[in-house]
Amino acid sequence: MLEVSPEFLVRAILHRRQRLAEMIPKQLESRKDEKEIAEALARDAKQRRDEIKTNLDEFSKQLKKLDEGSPQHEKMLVERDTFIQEAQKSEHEYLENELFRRRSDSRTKRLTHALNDCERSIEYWEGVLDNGFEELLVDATRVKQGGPSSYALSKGAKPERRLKK
Amino acid sequence: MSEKPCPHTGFSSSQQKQWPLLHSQLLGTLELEGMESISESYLKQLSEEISSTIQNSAMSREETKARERIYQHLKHNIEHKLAGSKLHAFGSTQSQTSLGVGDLDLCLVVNGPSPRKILNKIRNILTELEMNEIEVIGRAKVPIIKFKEPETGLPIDISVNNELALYNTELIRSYADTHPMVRNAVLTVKFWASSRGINQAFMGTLSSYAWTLMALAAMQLDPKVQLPNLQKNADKNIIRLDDEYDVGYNSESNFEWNPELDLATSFVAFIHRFVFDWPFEEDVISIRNGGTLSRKDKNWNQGEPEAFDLLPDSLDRRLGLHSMPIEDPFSLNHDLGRVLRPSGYLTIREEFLKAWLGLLKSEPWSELSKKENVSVIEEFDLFEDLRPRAMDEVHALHQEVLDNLSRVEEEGRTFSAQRKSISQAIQFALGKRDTPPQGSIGPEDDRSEEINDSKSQLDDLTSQRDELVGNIIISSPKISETLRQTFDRITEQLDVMNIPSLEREQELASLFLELQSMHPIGKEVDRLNREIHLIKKPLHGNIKHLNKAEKKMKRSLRTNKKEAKKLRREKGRLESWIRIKNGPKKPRKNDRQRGRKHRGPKPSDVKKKMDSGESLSMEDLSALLQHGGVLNMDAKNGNSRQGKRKNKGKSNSSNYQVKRGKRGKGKHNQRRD
Repeated sequence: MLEVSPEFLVRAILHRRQRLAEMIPKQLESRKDEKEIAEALARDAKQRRDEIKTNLDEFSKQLKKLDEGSPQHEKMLVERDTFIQEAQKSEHEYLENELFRRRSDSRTKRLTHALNDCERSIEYWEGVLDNGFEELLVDATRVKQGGPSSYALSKGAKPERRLKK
Repeated sequence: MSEKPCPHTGFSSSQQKQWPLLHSQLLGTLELEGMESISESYLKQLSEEISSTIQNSAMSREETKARERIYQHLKHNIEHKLAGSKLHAFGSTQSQTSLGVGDLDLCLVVNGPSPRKILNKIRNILTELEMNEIEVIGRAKVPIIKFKEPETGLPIDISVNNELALYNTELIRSYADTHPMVRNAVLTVKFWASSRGINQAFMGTLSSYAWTLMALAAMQLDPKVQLPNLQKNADKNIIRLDDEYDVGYNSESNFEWNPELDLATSFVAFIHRFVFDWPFEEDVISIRNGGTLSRKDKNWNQGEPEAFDLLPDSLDRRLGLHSMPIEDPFSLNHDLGRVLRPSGYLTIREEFLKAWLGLLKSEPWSELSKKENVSVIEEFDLFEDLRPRAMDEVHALHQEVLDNLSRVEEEGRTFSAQRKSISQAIQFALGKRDTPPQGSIGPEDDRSEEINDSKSQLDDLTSQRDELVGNIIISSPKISETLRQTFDRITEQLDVMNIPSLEREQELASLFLELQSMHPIGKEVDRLNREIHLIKKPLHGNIKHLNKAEKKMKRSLRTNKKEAKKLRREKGRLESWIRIKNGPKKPRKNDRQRGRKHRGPKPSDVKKKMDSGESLSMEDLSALLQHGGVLNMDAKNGNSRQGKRKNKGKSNSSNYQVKRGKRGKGKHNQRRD
C-alpha cells in the first residue's frame, strides 16, 4: 500500500470511472425502454380503473333508486358485488403498474445522474493527471511536515495542548 | 534502668522482694514439708474456721431478694421493649457458688440485629430506667453493657447472646448440687483466691470461674474425694451458636462425700496439688476429662514466652499461649488462662507457696485468707541502681548518656534526611515530582544517579512520542488497516446503481495519501515505545530497590527513635536523681529581678517623674498600667497578693515521686469482680 503512488491511485480511480461510463449508457437505454413500457402499462391501468369506478358509481345511484327487498334490488345487489370485485382488481393492477413505472423512472434518473457524475469525475481525474496532485496531497503534506493529521484536527486535539498535559 | 538480676533465676532485686518464695523455690533453697507435717487438731480447727467464714460470707436473704427484684424488674422492661428477647441470669449467683459479693450477670438472648445494635437499644432502655454509669463495651469478644442499679449500687453486666454461659452456669450448679461439701469446697478456694487478690482476670490473674473449675478439677483428681465427671458418658446435646457445642451432661449422680474429709483437708489437698504437682507442665485443667487432659492430646502446647523468660524487664509483654491452660467444659477451644499476664502468673504461684507455708505453720484461716491487696503490678524503685553509686559516677554516667543521645539524635537526623531523599527519588522516578532529590540518599546514591539518567532519557522519549501520537492519534496497526480498507474502497467493483460521488472519491484518495504519510510516524511511535519500555524496566527495578531501601531506612529510624527515647528517659532519670541529691534549689542572686515580667522603667521612677511634673513616655505609661495604675502603685510594691497566689500552685522542685507503676492499673481503674 505504501508503494502506491498518487498517479497510480488516480489512474485506478479513473479506470474504474471510465469502465462505468462505458457500462452505463447501455443500461440506460434498456432502462428507458423499460420506463416507456411501464408508463404505458400504468396509463392503461389507470384508465381502466377510472372507467370501472365511474360505472360502479352510476350503478350505485341506480340501486339507491330501487326499493329495498324488491327482486330487482336483490339481483342488482349481487351484480354490485361483482362490480366491486372488478374495481378492486383494477385498483390493484393500477397500483402495481404505477409502482413499476416509478421504479423504472427512478432507475433511469439514477443512471442518468451516474453517467453525468462519471463524466464529471473523468474530467476531474483527467485534469488531476494533467495538472498535478497538490490538491489531493494537502493533508499528506501537512502530516509529513509534522503537522496534525485530519484525525487530530477532527478530534480537536491540538498537539500543543496535549504536550502541556 | 540497669538493675543486676539474679544470675540463676533472672529475678531483679525488687522482683525477689515481690515473689520471695517463688524465687527461693527456683533457687532450690525453699524447703517445703509435706502434708504429714500438718496436725489433725489444726485441720479440725481450720475446718471450723472455714465453715464459719463461708456461712458468714453467704448472701443474706435480703440481698438475694434485692437481686431477684432487680433481675425481675430488668427482665420485665427489657423483654417488653425488645420483642422476642429473653433475659437470663447466670454466673455464680445462679450456680450457688457465690460469695455474696460481685456483680449480677445477665444474658439477653435475642435474634436479629448485631449485638452492638442491641446493646445500644438496651442502653436506651436502661437510660429510661434511670440506671447509673451505663457503659457499652461493644468491641469485646462477648459484647456487654455495664451499669449500676441506682438504689443498691449493685454492678450489673448484660451480655448479648452469650448462651454458652447459661449452660456453664447450669453445669457448675449441678456440680455444686452433688453435695453441699462440694459447693463449700469450691467456695473455700474462691474465698481464698478472692482474699489474696488473685481472682481478678482484668488484673492479669484468673477469673472466679477459672478458680471454680480448678477447685472442681482438684476434687475430681483427689482419690479421697473422687468427684464424678458429670460430662462423662452423658447424652449428647448439640447446640448451634457461633459454632456447634455439646452441652450434654448428667445432672444427677450418686456421689457420696467421704465423711473423713472436711473443708480444711479439701483445701489442703487443693493447695498441695498445685504446690507439689504443678499440673500445667504437661496437662490442661479439664473437668470435662475428669480433672486433667494432656497438653499433647489437647494440642495446647506452651507458647513462647513463658513468664520466667520475661524476667526481669519484660513482664509487660504478653504471656505465651496456654501458659496455665484451663479448658472451658463446653467451649473446648476457650482457654480460661489466656487472660493471665506474666506478673499474674508469678503471683499465683507465689500465693500457692505462701498458703502452703501458712498451713505448715498452722496459721489460722483469717491469716491464710488475710485480705491483702496483692499487687500484681511490679513496683520499681526508679533510682535503685543509682543509690549505691557516688555522685561523680552518676555525673559521668549522665555525661555518657548525653553523648550517646547527641550521637543518636544526629544519626536520626541523617536517617531522616536520607529517608526523605529516597522518598523524593522514588517520587521523581515515578514522575510525581519534577526535580530529583537534592540531598544524598546514602548508599543508594549510585542508583539515584542511574534513576536521574534514565528519567531524563525517559522524559525526552516520552515527550517525543507524545508529540507524534498527538499528531497522528491512531496507532500504527490501525493506520495499516485503514490504509488497506481505503484502497479497497477506492478500487472495488461498483454497482452502477451505487456509485460514490466525486467528492467522496476525492476524500478517500486524500485520506489514502495522508495515511501513507502517517505510516512512518506510527512506526516511529512504535520504536519510541520500545525504547521507553527498555528504559522503564531497569527504572522499575531501581524503584523497587529504593522502596526496599526506604523501608529499611524507616526501620532504622524507628529503632533510632526508640533508642533516643530510651536515652532521653535515662537522661531525665539521671537528672532527677542529681537534683534530688543536690537538694532543693537555692534562690539565685537575681531571681527577683528575673521574675519581674515588666522590663521597662521602675514604677517608683515613674512616680517621681509624675510628682516632679515631667512628661511621661509611652514606656512610663505602660509601666503604670502593668502595676495597676497610679492608685495601686504603692500597694503593689513587689509583695502583692496576686504574686502569692501565683506562687501557691507551683510545685516544689524537690518533690519527686520515686515509685511508678503500669498505666491503667491505678486504684481508679480497678473494678469489683
